Amino acid sequence: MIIKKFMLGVILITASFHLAAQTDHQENTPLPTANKTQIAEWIAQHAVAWDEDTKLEITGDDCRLQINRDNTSSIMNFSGILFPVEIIAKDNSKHAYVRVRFKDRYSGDYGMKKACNTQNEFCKKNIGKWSPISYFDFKVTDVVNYIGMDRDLNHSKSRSLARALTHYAKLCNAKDYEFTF
Amino acid sequence: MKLKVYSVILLMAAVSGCTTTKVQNVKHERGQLLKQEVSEPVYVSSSRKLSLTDNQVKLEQIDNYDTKEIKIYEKVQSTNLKREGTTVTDSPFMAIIGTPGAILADIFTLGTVGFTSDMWVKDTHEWETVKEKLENDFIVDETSKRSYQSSPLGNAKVDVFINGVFVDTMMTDRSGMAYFDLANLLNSSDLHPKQFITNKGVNVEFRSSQAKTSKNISNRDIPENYFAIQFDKRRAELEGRKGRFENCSFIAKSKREFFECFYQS
Repeated sequence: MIIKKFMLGVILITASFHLAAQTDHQENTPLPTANKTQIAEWIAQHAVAWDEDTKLEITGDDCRLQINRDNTSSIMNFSGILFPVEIIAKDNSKHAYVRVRFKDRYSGDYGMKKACNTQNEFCKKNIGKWSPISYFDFKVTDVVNYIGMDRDLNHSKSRSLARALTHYAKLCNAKDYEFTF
Repeated sequence: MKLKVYSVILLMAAVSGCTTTKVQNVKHERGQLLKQEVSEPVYVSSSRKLSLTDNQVKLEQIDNYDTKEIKIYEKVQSTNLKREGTTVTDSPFMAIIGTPGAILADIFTLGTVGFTSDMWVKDTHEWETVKEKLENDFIVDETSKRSYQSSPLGNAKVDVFINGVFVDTMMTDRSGMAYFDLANLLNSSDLHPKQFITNKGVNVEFRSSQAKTSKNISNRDIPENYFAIQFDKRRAELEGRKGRFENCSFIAKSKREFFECFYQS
């Protein structure tokens, strides 16, 4: 009798595991893993799409993104990112900003920008001086203040972007360290 | 004796009917042009000249010549525009030398004086003597013109200096020309490309034994080929700043643009 009950128990447990595994498989088809190029593309597409206000063009290749607006052109090198990628708010702005900071902030080794204007045909001509930048802000248009109650709802875009940037930087060998405090 | 002489002179004056018309401080001006001569060019000196165009220098020997142009005019008294000979005196004695054209004709036809205009200018001393004589009766205008003849100097050394530092020696060919490639010269100078981005150009100077020429070339005109060679040559140094190296490689469409990006901040 005890053996029968035990056997039944074993069968039930096994069956339930099996079922559970099946439903899991059906509901969460794993997304394909993006390679470096695909992530760069994802970042470019999403950063442009989520910045609704200003003209923005992003081109990139192998750990470098060049971001052109009407009045500036910036280039950043993801191998020189300082973690973490931050999400910040600015005074008098309802938008979220994903701030990427660079190592060697005054050297221009990882981030540079230059002015675009009529003189260089809005950066189509390579005239003008590149100067170092210490950080770059991706603006994520967000009409509801992301801080506070609506945080989890409206914060998702900036969090996704920050995650993508972080992931990309790691693929580009930007180093983060484990600390023991 | 003296008295005798004076009395003779007095008599002569009376006979000639000389009216004391001799004007003091007579001013003269040119009358008719009587003679115009241009001498053969006379060698004066030589010099050398190095001239520079785009990517070649030319070495020439310059021989300088002097040419004299002499114009002889009738001498006319300015106050009443009369001929001096007739103005000074009406004396029949003076009338003998009163026709200036006659003397002049003598001079120029190798007659009395026996000089040609060529000889005048070849022998300055003789010419000065003749000129002095002529000026008594004529107005002599003498102008000299410089001219030169150049001939190429082949097989001559031309040293090249970049920003004052020797980099190379070239030889001129038969036509006096020597050709250079600025990119090669700059590369052999081993100057750092940084200075052609941040400084004001480059001074290229060519020196031969007696001539030199130089040119300032702006950064804009430094050939791309120079930057291309420097990029390969200094790659290790540039890659020392890996991030910037990558960024600038990404941004730049040429190696010049790469260096501009790399050093402009």
